[in-house]
Amino acid sequence: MDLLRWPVVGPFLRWRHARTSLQLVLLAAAVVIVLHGLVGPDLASTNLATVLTWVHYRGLLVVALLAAGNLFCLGCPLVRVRDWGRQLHMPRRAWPARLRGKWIGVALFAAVLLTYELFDLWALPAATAWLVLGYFAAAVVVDLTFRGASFCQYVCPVGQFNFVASTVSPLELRMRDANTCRTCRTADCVSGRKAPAGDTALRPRVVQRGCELGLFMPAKVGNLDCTFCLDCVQACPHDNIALASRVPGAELADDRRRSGIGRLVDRVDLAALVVVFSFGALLNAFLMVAPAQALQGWMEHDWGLSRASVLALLFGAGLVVLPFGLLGAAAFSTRALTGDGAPPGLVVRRFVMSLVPLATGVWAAHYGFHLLTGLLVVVPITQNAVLDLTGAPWLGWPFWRWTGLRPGSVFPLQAGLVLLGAFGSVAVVQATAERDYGARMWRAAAPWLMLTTLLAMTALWILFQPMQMRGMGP
Amino acid sequence: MLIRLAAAAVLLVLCACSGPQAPFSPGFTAELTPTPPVVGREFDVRLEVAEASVPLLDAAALELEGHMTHPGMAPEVARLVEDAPGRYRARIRITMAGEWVLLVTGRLANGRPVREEVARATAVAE
Ligand code: SF4
Ligand code: SF4
Ligand SMILES: [Cu+2]
Repeated sequence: MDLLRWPVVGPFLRWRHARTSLQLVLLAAAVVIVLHGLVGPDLASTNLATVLTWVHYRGLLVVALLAAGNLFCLGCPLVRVRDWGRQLHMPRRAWPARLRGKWIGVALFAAVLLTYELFDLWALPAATAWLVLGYFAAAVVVDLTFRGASFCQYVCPVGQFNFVASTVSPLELRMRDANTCRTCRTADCVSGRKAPAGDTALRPRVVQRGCELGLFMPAKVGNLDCTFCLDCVQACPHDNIALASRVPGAELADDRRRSGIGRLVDRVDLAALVVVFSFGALLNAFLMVAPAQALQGWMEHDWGLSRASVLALLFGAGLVVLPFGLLGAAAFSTRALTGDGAPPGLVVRRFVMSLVPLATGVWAAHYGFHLLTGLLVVVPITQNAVLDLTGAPWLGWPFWRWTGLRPGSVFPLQAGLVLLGAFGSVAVVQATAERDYGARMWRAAAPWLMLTTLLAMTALWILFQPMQMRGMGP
Repeated sequence: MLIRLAAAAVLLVLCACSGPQAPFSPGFTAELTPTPPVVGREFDVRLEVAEASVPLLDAAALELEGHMTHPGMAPEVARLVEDAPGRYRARIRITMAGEWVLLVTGRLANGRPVREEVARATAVAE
């Protein structure tokens, strides 16, 4: 199945300006977010900045990843503004070799999760607006200094989230016919399509850029690092690229060498990214239920700690100590059960990818909850904004009754997403064990199946707790 | 394109600043029973307004809005009932534990919007 050959969708996606048009829609939303965040009401639940960012954008992003693919990178407005900037100034430098890899992105991803809790960002419209502006500034500065998609590949925390979650997306870009690529002499999909020879310049001019993330289509495996930008589709002179359906998550157990990435088991930084993505999913959900707040209050009062130190401790425990202990224990058990002499770190890197489906289920359950319970609030808030702005109810008096599903009614869906994710993780554990341990596969898999079960039960327990919507607000 | 967007942005900001009529704060004091409010049960809000504002207000044009500080959660809206000149009452049921902000909103007789935060409360589960 190839979406690029579908009626309507296909022609749209192959249209030269498809990406730009999507970017402009999201850019308009970003402009609304920034303006209302800065000049609108301080109360987060009546401000479009906080509602569109923390309810709609986050939720729809995860829904799109699960239903199709990395659509929010495809339509990312940061890249639109960056490309305008590049019309004025083309960067010459390459991203420094020492900074390759995901470490900066991992650190920023963890930092965003911590900042979000520490300052109750969801309750602060102006701070949310500044965060969005900060993203734009960072993207422009990085990408006007360095070539390619340096910001997406090495810096952007949202991008790293999308890359990891897109491994369980049902769609991917891949070559259509291996023979066409084998006989292809130009590799335009990665190096860009040049103007026909005989054109004025000495060096041929690139008329359509190739993959800015360095993914060479015949050697591309899976969705990691793919922004769904479709540049490769525009560039390939043989029309040999498909947006095809596939088994979600299967690539997590695929240890072939990938273009631009190498082999997954060799990448410590990717393992760290998956750890932050997975344990961050649980931590981020945990911090909004009542027991977490009781725990925080207790640590503050009984231990005499500040809120910042309490959160630093919880993040250290949740994103470093706990994963280290659990993954280490599982790796040692696998070694003991199979007599495998591989270093524990390597065993961890083999199996850590199996956390992704479950973790994506947890993110989807959490952000899906906010999206579904708050889906329609954007209507009364927009009405209210117009009322504030003009003094007249041009869109009618705010329909405050328009909200979304009742919180309790979302629980079955949340539980379903977590269980579906857990099944996906079990399948990845099984495939990995079969790949690396052959006949001893069940012995190798047992500790990781237990870990999956433990994490899935933790997730269900968290979702089952009463929510407590804290946030001091302004 | 960039220029057009920037122009639109500036225009919007100007509208917002030169604004129509700034909302009016009549000066309410609020008393909640019980405190803290309990999730799933109704609670009473008694409001008293500054004497100078009494003649400007009409209870029928006022509402009590309860919003969570967390975006995306359903607000609760209740009518104000006038007990005596300058004294109002509303009953409101809250549906979720956490931080709530109570606002009085509506209009004055001359059409000027009213909007005032009258209380904050952390609702607890039963
Ligand atoms: S995808 Fe197109 S441009 Fe890339 S190698 Fe294959 S045929 Fe060549
Ligand atoms: S050009 Fe690269 S990032 Fe863009 S869709 Fe193709 S493979 Fe993905
Ligand atoms: Cu939440």
